[in-house]
Amino acid sequence: MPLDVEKRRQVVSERMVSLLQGYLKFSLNEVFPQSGATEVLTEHYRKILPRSIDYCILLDRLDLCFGLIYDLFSSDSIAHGIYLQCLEPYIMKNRFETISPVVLKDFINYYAENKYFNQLEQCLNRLDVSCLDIEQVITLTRKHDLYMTLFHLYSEAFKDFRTILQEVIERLEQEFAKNGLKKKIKSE
Amino acid sequence: MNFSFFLSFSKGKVYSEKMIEIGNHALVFIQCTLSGDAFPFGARLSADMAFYGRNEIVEFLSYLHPRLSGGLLYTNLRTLLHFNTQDFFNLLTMAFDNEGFLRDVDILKRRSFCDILLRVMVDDVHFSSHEISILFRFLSRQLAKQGQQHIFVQGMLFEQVRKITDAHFYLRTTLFIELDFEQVRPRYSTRSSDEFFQKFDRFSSSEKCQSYGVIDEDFSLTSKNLSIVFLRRRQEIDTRNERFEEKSHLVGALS
Repeated sequence: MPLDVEKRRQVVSERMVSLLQGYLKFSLNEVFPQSGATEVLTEHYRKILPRSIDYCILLDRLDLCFGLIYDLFSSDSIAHGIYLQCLEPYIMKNRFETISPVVLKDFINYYAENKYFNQLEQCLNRLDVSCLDIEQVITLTRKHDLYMTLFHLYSEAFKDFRTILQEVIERLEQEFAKNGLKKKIKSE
Repeated sequence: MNFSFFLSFSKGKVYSEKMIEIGNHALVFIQCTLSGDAFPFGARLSADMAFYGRNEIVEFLSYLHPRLSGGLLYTNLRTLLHFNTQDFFNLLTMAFDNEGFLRDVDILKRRSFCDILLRVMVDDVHFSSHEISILFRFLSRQLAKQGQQHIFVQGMLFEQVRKITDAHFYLRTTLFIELDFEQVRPRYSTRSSDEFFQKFDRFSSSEKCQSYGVIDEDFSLTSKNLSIVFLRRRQEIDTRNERFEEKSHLVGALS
């Protein structure tokens, strides 16, 4: 071990990264379930992933989480889905400072394809606007009426407090004109 | 942040559930911006952004002609009021109690905003008397605040209060008292209010306070403050009248 603190830290961190790589290699090859239903496989991935992500956060090496681990898991579609699902609790708790745009794009697409709109909206509201692909998110949220996110995006990213409010009010107005007036006149 | 606060029921089934949800988001968004928070889970807005956001929202709500296609005046505000009157006023009350809001949105804007509220609700036949009484509660609370009498009460308002026939009796009396406090009575007296005040004037001060306390069931927030201010005001008017009588006696004696 070198005496210099900086150098020692570097050596240790390199060693820890190689440990992580070793762990992933081991669990994806040696103890990988060879046969059985998809549940067994899912279970296996769910065991490995949170551990590895926690480890990355502990080391403060998020690049590994979105680089190495992402690459390993994106080869297989089941693994890829589970990797993206495993990110959700971390986003909800604001554990990531930034997320790589590539991963985030996949994440949003995956959640939209599987129609997990509630969770997606909750995640989008917690993310920093600067790491979002704004065009993609706006198209998606408009399509599925995720107004909470639209309010968040427009006020944070564009400093625009009116546009979405105007839209919502116009929709409320239309519904009121359709049903409200009749109801009110009846009740009076 | 208290979200359940806004989840109370909107009017019957006028709006679909989806729309109620979206509308509630809009209400929460307005509330957050007016009190200087980022929507929905963010931290505080920076001072510049809070100033900008608050003024944007107030201006947006006080647009006279918001639609290109014409339509009613003040449609933005009117639609929100129709959507959920109680919660809209709840959030306005919260904003008007917020120091940052009072600092950022100047007194003229607040005054004209209250004027617009009054105009929108009083002229529109689609508001029930209950909803209008919510407006009056809001206005009377604002009037009751010391050092913040920025709301100009019009004669129209006083006439309107008289028309609330099916509202709670206590509410009506309280409103009369509060309006008198702004010296509306000398200018716009009506028969029923005169009768009420004649009765009321016969009480002693402590009885007035007591009766006020009873009347004030619904007004626990401002009751004490208001009754004190009110009594002081009444005493001022009384002493002025007495002086005037003394003067007229003197004039009579001299001639």
